[in-house]
Amino acid sequence: MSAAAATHDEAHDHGHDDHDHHDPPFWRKYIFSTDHKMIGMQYGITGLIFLGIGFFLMMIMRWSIAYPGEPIPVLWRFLGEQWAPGGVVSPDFYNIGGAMHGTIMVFLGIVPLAFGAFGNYVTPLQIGAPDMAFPRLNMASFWFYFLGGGLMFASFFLDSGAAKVGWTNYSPLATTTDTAYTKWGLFWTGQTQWLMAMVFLITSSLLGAVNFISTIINLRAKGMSWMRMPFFCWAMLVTGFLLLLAFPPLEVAAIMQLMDRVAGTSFFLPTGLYVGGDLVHATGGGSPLLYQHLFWFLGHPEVYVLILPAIGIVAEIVANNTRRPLWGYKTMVGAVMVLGFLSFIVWAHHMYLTGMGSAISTFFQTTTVLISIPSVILITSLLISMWGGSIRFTMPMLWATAFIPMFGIGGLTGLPLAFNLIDLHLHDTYYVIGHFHYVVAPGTIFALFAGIYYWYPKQTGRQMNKLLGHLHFWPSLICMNLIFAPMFVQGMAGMHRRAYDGGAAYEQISSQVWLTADNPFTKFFNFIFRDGAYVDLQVIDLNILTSFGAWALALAQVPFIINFFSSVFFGKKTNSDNPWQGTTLEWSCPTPPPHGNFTKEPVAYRDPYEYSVPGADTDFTPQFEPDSDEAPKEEPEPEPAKA
Amino acid sequence: MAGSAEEIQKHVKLYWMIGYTLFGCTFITLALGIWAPLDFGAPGVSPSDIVLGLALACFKSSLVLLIFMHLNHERGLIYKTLVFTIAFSISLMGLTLFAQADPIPEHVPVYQAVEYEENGHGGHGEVDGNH
Amino acid sequence: MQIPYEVTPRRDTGLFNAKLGIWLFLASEVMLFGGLFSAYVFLRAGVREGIDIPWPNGTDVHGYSFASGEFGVWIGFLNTLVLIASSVLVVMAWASLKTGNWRKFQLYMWGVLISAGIFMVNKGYEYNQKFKHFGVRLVDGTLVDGYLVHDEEHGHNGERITFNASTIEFALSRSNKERVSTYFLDGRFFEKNPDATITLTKFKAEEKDGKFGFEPDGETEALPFSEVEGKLLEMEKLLKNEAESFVAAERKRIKEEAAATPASERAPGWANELRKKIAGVSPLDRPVVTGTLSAPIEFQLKAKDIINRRYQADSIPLFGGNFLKGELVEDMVDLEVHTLDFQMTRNDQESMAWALLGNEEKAYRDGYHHYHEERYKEFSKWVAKGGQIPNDKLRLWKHIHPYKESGGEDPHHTYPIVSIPRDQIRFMSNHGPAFGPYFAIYFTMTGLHGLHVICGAVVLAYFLFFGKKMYDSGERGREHLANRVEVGGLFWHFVDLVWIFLFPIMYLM
Repeated sequence: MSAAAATHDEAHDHGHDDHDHHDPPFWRKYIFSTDHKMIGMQYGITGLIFLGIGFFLMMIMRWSIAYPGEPIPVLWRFLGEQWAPGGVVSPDFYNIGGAMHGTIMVFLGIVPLAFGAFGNYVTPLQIGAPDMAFPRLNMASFWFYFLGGGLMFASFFLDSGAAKVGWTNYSPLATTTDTAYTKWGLFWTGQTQWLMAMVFLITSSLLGAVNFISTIINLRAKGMSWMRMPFFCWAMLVTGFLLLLAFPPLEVAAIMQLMDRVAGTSFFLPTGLYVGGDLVHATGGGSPLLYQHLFWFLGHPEVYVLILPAIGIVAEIVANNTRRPLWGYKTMVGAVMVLGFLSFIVWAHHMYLTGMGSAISTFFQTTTVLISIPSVILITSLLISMWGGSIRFTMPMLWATAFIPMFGIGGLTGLPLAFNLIDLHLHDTYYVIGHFHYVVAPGTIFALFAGIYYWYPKQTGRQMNKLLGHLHFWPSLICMNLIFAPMFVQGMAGMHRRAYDGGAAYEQISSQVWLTADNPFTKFFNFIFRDGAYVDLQVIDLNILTSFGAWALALAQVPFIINFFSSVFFGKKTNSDNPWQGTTLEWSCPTPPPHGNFTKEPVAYRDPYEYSVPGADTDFTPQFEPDSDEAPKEEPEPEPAKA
Repeated sequence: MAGSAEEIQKHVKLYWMIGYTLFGCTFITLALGIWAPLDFGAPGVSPSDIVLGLALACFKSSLVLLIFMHLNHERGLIYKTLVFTIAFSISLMGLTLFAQADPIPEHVPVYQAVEYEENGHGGHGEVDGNH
Repeated sequence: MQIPYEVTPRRDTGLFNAKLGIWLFLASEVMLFGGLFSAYVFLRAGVREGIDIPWPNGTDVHGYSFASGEFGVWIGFLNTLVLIASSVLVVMAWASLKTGNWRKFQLYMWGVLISAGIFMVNKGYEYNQKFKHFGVRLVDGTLVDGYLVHDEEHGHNGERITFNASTIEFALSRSNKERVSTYFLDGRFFEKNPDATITLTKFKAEEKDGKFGFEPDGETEALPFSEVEGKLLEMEKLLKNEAESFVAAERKRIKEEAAATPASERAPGWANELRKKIAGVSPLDRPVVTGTLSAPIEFQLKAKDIINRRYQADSIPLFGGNFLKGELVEDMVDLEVHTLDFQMTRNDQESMAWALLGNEEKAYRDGYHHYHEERYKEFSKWVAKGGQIPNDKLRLWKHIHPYKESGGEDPHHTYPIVSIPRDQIRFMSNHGPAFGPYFAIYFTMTGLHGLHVICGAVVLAYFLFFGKKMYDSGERGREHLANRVEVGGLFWHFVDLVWIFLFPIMYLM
């Protein structure tokens, strides 16, 4: 019966074709679109805008860190007397900046870009599906995200300002902040609206995750067996499961905190809590640790949500540009699933400082160290794939190549943090900031840029400009390191990450000398930043270096913005559906892919990365190229265990 | 479950049976809570009542899952997803409880060293009363 | 374009898209409720005896005696049966669709919707009962439980806070605008004194020690209340403008002075010094505007009007930075006492509650003993068999003291009314989510579950009312509708499944 049903479906396919020729109206096509490619681009543009906003906040913070107590040029006019009294960034606004930078970057910038944009655009194309399994759900997912993002952004303009207790929103601080409002006023505070926005974002992620997993499991094209699936799709599948299963506990935490703030419960308020010298009017009996457990149960898998799509993108680009099959493809698939599984049981390594006993610490240290194994397998496989390949250093490949060592630094500096003893010293210092940002900023964001440069011709039919690309890439690479490398030094010296004056108040720590005055680097530094004075380089002085790195990084994005928009009109035409001579299915459909993607039924005849096959005419043998010797497999292989 | 009409007709009877069983189990659960003759532990709610009550709830929910939600007819994929889900939610509950049950002990035996001090002003305010 | 496997299952997975989707969604729901159950266990296991308020027994909270009017356990039980029945009905509805019987499908589906309705009505009744119940914890830990006494005549809601204000202090801040109007102009406070006027202090800006400040200039003006808001806004704007122009002028002066230094004479760090000087120019804090009332006005307040419930005998902080100054006349909570709970009281014989009861004290103490006798009878059989009474039962037994056991033909008439002074109250709330961790998790979980019931019912109702067209559109449409109902049914079963756990955990343990 099932076989008959399959043909029945196909018959419908053809029957429906002629209905689809008339164009949908503008608002259906560009705004409330159900086409996965349009939704992907909506995600992409919105995500990039939020990435910009998050970056902007960080630049304001960097001023406060590098030049505490000095008025911020130009921007003080926009901040106004409330947030910048006398033009100086107030501690409150610094806190808002810190909390919202994290929130915006993670939940509104990178996840939507990596998972929403690339996942939406590329996944169905790569597995040969006409669209996502649930197109309307897909649209709902985007608009929930948009709503959540809009709410988050709007909260800046509330009286109380946006959320200000760190992107982790730890209780009881998060519960008791801004309570000098009436009950409804309390609802309209940034802290409460953060939770509301979070509920929308989580809903969006859940719908997205359900959609992605269903699509990948159920809509693979004929012949696209599990082991013929491009690695990017594997990464998306595992990411989908991470979002699906890790986000609900955060939703629980958000709901509980919302109840704490609005309904007066004390889920996260301990007995006898005093705030500002007053006993809080609540029963107590709650536990702040409960919030941390629920938050980090999401928090850690979230890191892999940020990283796995990036690795997927890089894997595609590395295989394409080294002109060799991905080394250890099956091992990588295994590794990514193990990674997904383990990421659920490592979360409390963020909580060593909460007074966990030795038994539970040991457990989490062990799992944390274990999880580095699959990560290293992934990176090693990518490196070996490059070894001995005839590498084309195209624009995407440059970014992908830079991704590997940058992510490597981020990953390796994370290892010390896995150990309780070392973490007690490094916890909440700039070291952690450096580690995490190496993973996501020069790591994930570089991979995202690589992806943009790589798939840009598929949508527009034009290449992005190479000169502007180089002007974007090299300064970005240098600035990223300028920003995050000094943080390791500062962190190991013990500088705390949340001080709005960059640690000036903690003079004992921040005035430690890193390099003496006669060091050439110090001389160079003093020549540039301190009128050539002959003084030692203290760890706090590195703040200035970092801040200038951040502002220079902003300038480095200008070529990209110009490139991104101008290449639509002036970029070099590709004149081919397969400009990179890739092997995966997305290169078989027209440019740009029409609604429904494929003009003829896509079939996967072979493995995804058949580059430089001995005896072949070209150095790439696409998955979609029929081979007379090998008939397409009728039935996909039975599915392996999933993570 | 794409069963034919006759097959489903057969199942209908089963569905009612399961419904009655669930009703019955609910009565027992209630009785465990409030009916004295069914107190297996002490009167009122005691650990054995809790274990029995939860076991009944598990039994009931597995009936719902297997019969009403047709899990007995599904293939491996859903099972695998559910097994991982259950594993993760157990790890969420288990590990948080583990962390709660294993705090750093408040009385670290360092104060024993204080006893050797001559003037004995080891001012550890929190040590036991015999100090 | 048609998306494959919308109706028929894919061969290797055996699933059509929507079924796969709903199972994945249910997996995330398992994690959602898993998180909540984890929180429940974590909070309950984390109760520290003698420090945190004790975790109540679900059976005690809800009650199961019809005579006392507290029978929440029975409501929960009824709801369990209703949900199980609806689960059977929804699967029957699906089977009817499969066998092609639309009438029966309609019938069963109506059954499901009615069940959902009964469930929600019961839930609403149960919530309402709890919201009416009120508890006051005294500073010595004793919980006085009962119902607030509503005084229709004076408009009191069980709370009497009377404050005789002679002056009001307004904060001159941007965020205070709306608050001034909400508190003072909505008629709640001033309607009784329409003729009263208020005299606001005026300010002039002046420079003091290189800083810019505001000084009262002694000039005053009597205004009716309706003009207060406008006047405050005007003053705020004026001060803002003056402050801004002062800052701008001062900064300009500093810059011009600095620019006068020749470049050759500039010391290292000259630019930094200049920046710091410029930053140093800022106005002093905003002044407070004092309004003197023509005659003292009696304010009837509620505790939630008062910021952080932090008030003194001569000054009450209101939201938005405003203060009432004057004299606190009375501050009481009137409660009809039903139960005393001494679990958190160090010494129940010396509890503050006895003094509050006054004349009723003896009756209460009698009831106390009577109650313990009753409880002992309940346990005696068990003790005779050699069993141990569990610790938590013993504690409860010893300390909870319901007044209703104290005899009398009509116990409802014998509940005493006590007036509790505010300074003896540590915490008070109705039996809503704020009443303790048990109530918090109870309302959160059942509330979330209720939302699921509503959503599920809406989806199923959609199939019932709008499914006919699809059903009539041929073999494929019929199959599609059956699939949809199956998927909706899967969700509905899950909702039932959650309740199967919620019932024993929330009501019986």
